[in-house]
Amino acid sequence: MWNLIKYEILGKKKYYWVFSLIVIGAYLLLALDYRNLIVGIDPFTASEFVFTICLLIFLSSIIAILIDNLRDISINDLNYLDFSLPIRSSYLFYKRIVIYILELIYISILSILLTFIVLKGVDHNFTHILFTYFFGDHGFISILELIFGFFEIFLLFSIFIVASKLPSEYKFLKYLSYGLTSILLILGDYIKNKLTQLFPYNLLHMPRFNYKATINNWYFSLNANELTINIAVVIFHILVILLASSVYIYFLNSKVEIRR
Amino acid sequence: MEILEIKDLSKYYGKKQVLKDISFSAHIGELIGLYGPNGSGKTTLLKLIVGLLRPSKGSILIDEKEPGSYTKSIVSFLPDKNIFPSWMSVKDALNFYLDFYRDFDSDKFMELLMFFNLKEDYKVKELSKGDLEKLILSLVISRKAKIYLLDEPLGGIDPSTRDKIIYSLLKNYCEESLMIISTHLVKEIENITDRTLFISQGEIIMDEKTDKLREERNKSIDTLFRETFQ
Repeated sequence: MWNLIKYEILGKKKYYWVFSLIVIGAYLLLALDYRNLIVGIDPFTASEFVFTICLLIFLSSIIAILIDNLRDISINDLNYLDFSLPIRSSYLFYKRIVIYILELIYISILSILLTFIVLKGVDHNFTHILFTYFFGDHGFISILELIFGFFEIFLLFSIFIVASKLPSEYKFLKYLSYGLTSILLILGDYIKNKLTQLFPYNLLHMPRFNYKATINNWYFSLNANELTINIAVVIFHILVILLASSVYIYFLNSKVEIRR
Repeated sequence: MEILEIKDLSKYYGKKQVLKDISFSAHIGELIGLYGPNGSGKTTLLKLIVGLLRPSKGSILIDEKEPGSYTKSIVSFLPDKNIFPSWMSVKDALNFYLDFYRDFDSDKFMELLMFFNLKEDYKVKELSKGDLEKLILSLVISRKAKIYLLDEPLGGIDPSTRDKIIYSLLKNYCEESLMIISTHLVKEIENITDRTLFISQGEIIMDEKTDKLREERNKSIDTLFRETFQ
């Protein structure tokens, strides 16, 4: 297992450097050139505007990691070299999950750190507000929810890739997997809304984050939507993750084959 | 000792039946030449034994076990294409095999590298087709496996090196293991094989001891191959 992770990291070493440099470069560019971007923008909201751009860079990085790992499942995990190793095929799943989570944690820490640095340059006082947000419950839970959501999406998309390697005898199983995964991806929000209506029991409810501060006669604010974590929705997410993981492992151990 | 037993093995790719009810067994100490024209099912058969493909029907038993993590630990497979990612160097490939295969003999591998005039710091992506084949062959036969499956092992290698490989390497490998070589180079291989298998359109049409076949038919396996598949 650790050897699998070791060779994955060795293989992606160059990619990690390039990716980190691109992310750092994007933030650096923003830090150096934000004055051109905020031309015409109310100076009071300039910090929020730059913060939004930082958030966009962060989201783009997470999407890039998602796509790259999906590609790696197809190109590396399901190929001759890895699949003929004397290990249970399910270790390929565990390796992928560990790598994906490590990459998500790395990019989250890097992005948050760079966001602070960039915003410190734009407006020193705004970082104080951000600090309050990120290290308060609201910001922390929002980030966890975002990472959790991407993890679930990754698992669902990976089922498409693994199911595409099923032998022709399992055509029904293949299309059933495609169908169920598509339903969960397309109707996920609808199902969650229904669950919230049917079981209105919240594990957590955090009101709209609305931070206002007046520092040195300057007015600052940061708003974030209210955050509700419903018990039924959490159970639904856990079930989806467990189901997707079980299907992935089952396919790897008993069904998937490597034709090319 | 019987190490491989295949019973009524069939494989479909969609509606196309690639292997049709194949049955045979093989023993430690045998060197089998598996011959057949393109698309006859040779590679499919080897990939089924390795566990890369799954049977549509029938069974495969390797050391009395179905293909899985145990059988992968005793089967050494040489595929007909590059299996290494481009970032790897020869040394990385060596370390990879050392980390994953307990039966890997690094001293033997180093000897083979010298034999093939390959250097540890060469990058896989910089190797020529022939050198890449030599590297993968070196890795595969540096394992002390019970079964060696070589799929077109000599295709990209020049004739003089090819002869050296056949007579100084492969010939000595079968005392404690089974080796199956799938190739079109019948003439080059036939002198070292104990047993000849002809496969055509997914069926084994000939399975005989090589010497017996040559004596009975009074012709070489290469000639027999050409006559059978002309």
